[in-house]
Amino acid sequence: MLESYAPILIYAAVVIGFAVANLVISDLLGRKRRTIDKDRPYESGMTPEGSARVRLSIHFYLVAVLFILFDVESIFLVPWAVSARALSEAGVGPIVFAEISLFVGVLAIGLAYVWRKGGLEWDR
Amino acid sequence: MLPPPSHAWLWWIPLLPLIGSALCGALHLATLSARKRDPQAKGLAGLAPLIACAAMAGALALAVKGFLDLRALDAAARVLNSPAWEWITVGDPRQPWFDVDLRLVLDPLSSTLGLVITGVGLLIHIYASGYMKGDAGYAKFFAYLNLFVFAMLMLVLSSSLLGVFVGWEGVGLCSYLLIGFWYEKGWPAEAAQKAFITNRVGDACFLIGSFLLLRLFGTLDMHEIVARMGSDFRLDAIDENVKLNIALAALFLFGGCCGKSAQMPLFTWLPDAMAGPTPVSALIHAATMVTSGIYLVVRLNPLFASSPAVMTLISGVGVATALIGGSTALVQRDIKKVLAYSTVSQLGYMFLGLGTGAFGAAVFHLVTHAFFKALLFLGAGSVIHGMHEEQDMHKMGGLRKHMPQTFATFLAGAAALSGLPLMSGFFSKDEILAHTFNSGGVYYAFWIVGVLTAAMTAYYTWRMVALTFFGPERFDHHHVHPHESPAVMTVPLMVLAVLSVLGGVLGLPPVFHAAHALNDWLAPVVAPGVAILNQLHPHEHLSHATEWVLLGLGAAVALAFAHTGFRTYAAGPEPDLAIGRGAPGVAAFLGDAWSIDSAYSRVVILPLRVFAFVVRFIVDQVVIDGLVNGAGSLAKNLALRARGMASGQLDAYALWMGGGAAVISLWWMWS
Amino acid sequence: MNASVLKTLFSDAAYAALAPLFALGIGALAVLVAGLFPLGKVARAVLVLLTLLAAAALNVGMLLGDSVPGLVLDGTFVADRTTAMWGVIFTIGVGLAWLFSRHYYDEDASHQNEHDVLMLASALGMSLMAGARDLIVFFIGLELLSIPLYALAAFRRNRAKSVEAGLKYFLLGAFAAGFFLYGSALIYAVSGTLKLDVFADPASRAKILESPMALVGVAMLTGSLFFKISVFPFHLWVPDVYEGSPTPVTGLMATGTKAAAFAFLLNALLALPSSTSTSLAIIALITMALGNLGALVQQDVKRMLAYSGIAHAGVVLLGIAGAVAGDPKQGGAVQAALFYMAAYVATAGGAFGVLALLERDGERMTTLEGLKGLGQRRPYLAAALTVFMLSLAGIPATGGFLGKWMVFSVAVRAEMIPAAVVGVLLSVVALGYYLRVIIAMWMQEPGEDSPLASTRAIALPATLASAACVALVLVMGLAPRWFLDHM
Repeated sequence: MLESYAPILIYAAVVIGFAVANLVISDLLGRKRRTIDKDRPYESGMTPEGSARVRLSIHFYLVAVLFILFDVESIFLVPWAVSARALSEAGVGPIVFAEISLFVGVLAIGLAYVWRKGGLEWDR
Repeated sequence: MLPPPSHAWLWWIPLLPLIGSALCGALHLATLSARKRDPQAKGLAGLAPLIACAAMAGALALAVKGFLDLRALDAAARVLNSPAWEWITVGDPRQPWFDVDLRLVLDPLSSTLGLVITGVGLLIHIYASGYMKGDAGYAKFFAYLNLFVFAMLMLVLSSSLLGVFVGWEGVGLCSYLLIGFWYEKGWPAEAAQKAFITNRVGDACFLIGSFLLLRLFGTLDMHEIVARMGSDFRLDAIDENVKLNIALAALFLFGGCCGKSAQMPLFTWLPDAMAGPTPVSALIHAATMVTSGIYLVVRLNPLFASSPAVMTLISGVGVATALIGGSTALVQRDIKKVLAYSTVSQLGYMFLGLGTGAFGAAVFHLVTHAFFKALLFLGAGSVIHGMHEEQDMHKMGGLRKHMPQTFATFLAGAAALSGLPLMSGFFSKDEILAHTFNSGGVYYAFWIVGVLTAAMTAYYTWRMVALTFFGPERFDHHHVHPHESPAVMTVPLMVLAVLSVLGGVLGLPPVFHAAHALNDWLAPVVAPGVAILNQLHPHEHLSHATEWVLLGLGAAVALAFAHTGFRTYAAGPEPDLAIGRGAPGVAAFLGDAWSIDSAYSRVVILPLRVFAFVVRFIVDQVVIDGLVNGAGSLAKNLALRARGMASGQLDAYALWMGGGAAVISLWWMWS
Repeated sequence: MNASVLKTLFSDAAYAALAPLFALGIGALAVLVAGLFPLGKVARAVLVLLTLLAAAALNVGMLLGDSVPGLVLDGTFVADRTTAMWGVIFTIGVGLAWLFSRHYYDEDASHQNEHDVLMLASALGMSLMAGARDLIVFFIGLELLSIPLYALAAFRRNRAKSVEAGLKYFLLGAFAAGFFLYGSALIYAVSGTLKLDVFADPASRAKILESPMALVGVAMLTGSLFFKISVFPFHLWVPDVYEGSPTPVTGLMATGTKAAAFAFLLNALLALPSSTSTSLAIIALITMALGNLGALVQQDVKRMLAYSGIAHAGVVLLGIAGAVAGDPKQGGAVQAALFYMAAYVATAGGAFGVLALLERDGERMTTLEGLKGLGQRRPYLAAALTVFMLSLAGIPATGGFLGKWMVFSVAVRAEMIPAAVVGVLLSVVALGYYLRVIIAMWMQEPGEDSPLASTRAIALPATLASAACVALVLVMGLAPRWFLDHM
């Protein structure tokens, strides 16, 4: 049982080894010149200083929530797409297609709702 | 087993008062809306007593019909059965695991109780139509009173223990409503709440007892349970474990009786219940509701008879209650309080009798007590009415000249209560004491206490008569003008007086060589229990000589102490004050009913309150907060709370949830 | 997945089983879409009402019909009479909350449509929970119920207390959901399935429960359900959230949510080894004690009802403990709990509804002080609240009495006599605080600092709903046969 995991283990060892080796080698060989900017923690390009309580527009959250909502849609579509052929061979292809369409339809209603209620307008 | 359900008319006995109650309630609502337009409007409230009394008269007529029908049958077949109202069925209809049919059954016992409830009830309704005249809630009062009679009749007529419980809680609810009837005064509302909650403690015991019976017998039908006690649950057919369970069920049921019938340790609500209007005290807290405990024990007599320990406990509780009630009544100044403690004491007598297996004698005392105690309460009500709501006997005196009819009937009631020879109370009390004497062993001690209490009874009864009707007039002649009550109030008094004097013929002792009518009548009902008792410890009947001695002793004690009580107080209440000066501790102890009530507030109520506050403030807030945040941030948290934000609690709640799940997991893994 | 399983997924039985859920889902969507158009208020209300009636009718049809679909969707969902009865209870609970919420939100009236959609969605979640026989299906139902409720709890957006209640409920609810998922994962790790029927067979059940990991999993599942039914020590959120939420929503939380969680708990009972019955009984008693004693010191009736709801959950849990202890007639426990919850839905739903009506009269109307003299000002409302209090206290002739009776009798049958004794005695304490409400309404005059009540007329929907609750409470007390026969 455990033997079947051996390749994964080896793979993990190689990956970790490579990363560690790179860090160690660059530290040994590289020239060190410290600047203030370099010592800053990396925050994806944002300034890590100042108040943490920056006010963000509430629209960020709305958009984020909507994104997640419709993002999830695709997650459901993938398994259907993968097994569509098998389903139709089993004779339930049309009905499953109807179901997935229903699902997309429900989301479409949601989209229509958001649109109509002005959820997609940035300046309001 | 029960005969075929062919007597649908039985349902009308309780239904008539229920209909009366609904009509009176409608009248009350009509009066209320009439009063919105005109505050002085009386509306149709005047019709309420007519409706209520008509309903009672109808119920009484049906109860009499039932009695006559029963009489026409053979002694062994005296059971009338009504069609069932199929109330609850749980599970497969063919074999339900829980099945309750409500059916009404009239047998000698329920017939006797039914006659007392409807008969005495009718008299009290008539009396109340005079007593409550002019009250703002005239129609409401009769609605409640009729509803009470309905519940009480359900209690004594139902064959299922659950039906009894419905009546049991129903009378408790009506008692609550009626004690608190004059809630504007403030304290009646509190007395009502106390009565209800104390009763609920007893009711909880009742419930548990009935669960146990349901588990044992698989049914709640009392006639079936009694029958099975004679067949597959015979004493020699069951093992120790079943016996223990039966004793446990009997014990819990008796706990229920202690609540409803005001026995130790749950009697403290009854004296407070006197906050209700006097007809209520007469009907509910003397004649009917408080005797339902006695009814229940007699109804299930084989169950109790089969556990001697429970029987002894019943007698012991009864005699202790009799002593405490009787001694407390000695020093009360409020005329209704004297009667209330006297009721507690007399109920104790009935339980003393039950514990000796004298089921018939207990019912006998129940009946005579219903007559004379209702009479005394109504008489006291008449006095209070005539004295403009004065209840303190120290402020009465010499009333016999002002209210002669009340006086004469009150004398009859007092004679019966104190057990003067040949009065009804004399025979019933003597029968209980004779049975106690005959039971031997520890019962000799009970007998001595019983005789002592009888002496006290005679003493406080005649003290009350002397203080109220004799001696100098101690009221303020400028403000109080005592007057006789109207005929609508005095006629019921006269009827009850006749019953109190002559009620003894229902059960003359053997030495009179006359039939004991009530015992013969009840024999089919109590036979199973009596048979079990005879099997457990057979004993001889008392010899005639002994019985004469006991009768003579009872008469002598009653006469002597009645005389002493009357003589001591004939001149006025000065002896009371002398006791207060001479032995203030004793006077306070007795006056406060042996301080049992204040002991409760220390032992039960205070800890409960404290615990509730601990839960609320210490556990909920301090401990949880303290656990998580440490003492330092506690102050900050409290400050946040004070600002109206309780957000500091969230992590604590989550911690409790996580900890709880962890503890449960460990517990289950370990067990 | 083989073809035969695929076929069963789309059988007629499956559609029949899911019909009430379809009705609720389609109805919720229809109401949502209707909100986009300038339809009248009345038209939208009719739409909500039709949805609820359709769901109720489909459930009643299943109750009265000759046959039921039974286990469908590859054994993950069951539609039998019990599920249908729960469905009826949920629609009644949601219907009550919806009726009482009419005219409740003065300042947020523009969002009434979203409010109704969320309520219908929560009903859908409840029905899914009650029928679930699979942990994932149940989880979907749980979230479908919970997420709308989080939003509903915070629905009075401009009141700090309401927002606080919503946030608290959301955070702790998410925590509890985490418990559930973690527990399911542990069970899956041991048993290899998420279906409850692995526990139905005694042999396989014993094998699974040998593993401590599975036991921990079951305990975590139970914990997350205890959160929803508010059992110690998962009950701490209840008073804060109940008090802060809009009162009709509180009513829904107290009745519908609790009922749905109990519905699944009764299904999941099989997973609990009988050795856990003692611990369940002890938890039940602690819950009853904390609930009753906590209620004793409350001045605000809404908070008092929150604590009282905790105590009631304890009572049902005691019955469940009795069933776990190995009562040979386990059906008794299910019926007792069902009946108890049905009576509780009508009673507590009505009580919270009446409080919602009073709240409209003024901010402090729901304190004992504010209730003083209500009997004279609004006799019918006070009478209804009196009936509810009596039923909660378990006075005969009400549904609350019979429910309590059956639950305790289940416990006694399972030989848990000491627990039953303590439980019955604790319910005596309860009478103390219920009576205080009655006394305040009928036996006390308004004090000097009592809030003044307006004399606004009560709207028709609320009148109907309170009358229906009173009728239900009394019918369940006097003639419970119909309910019992169909459970």
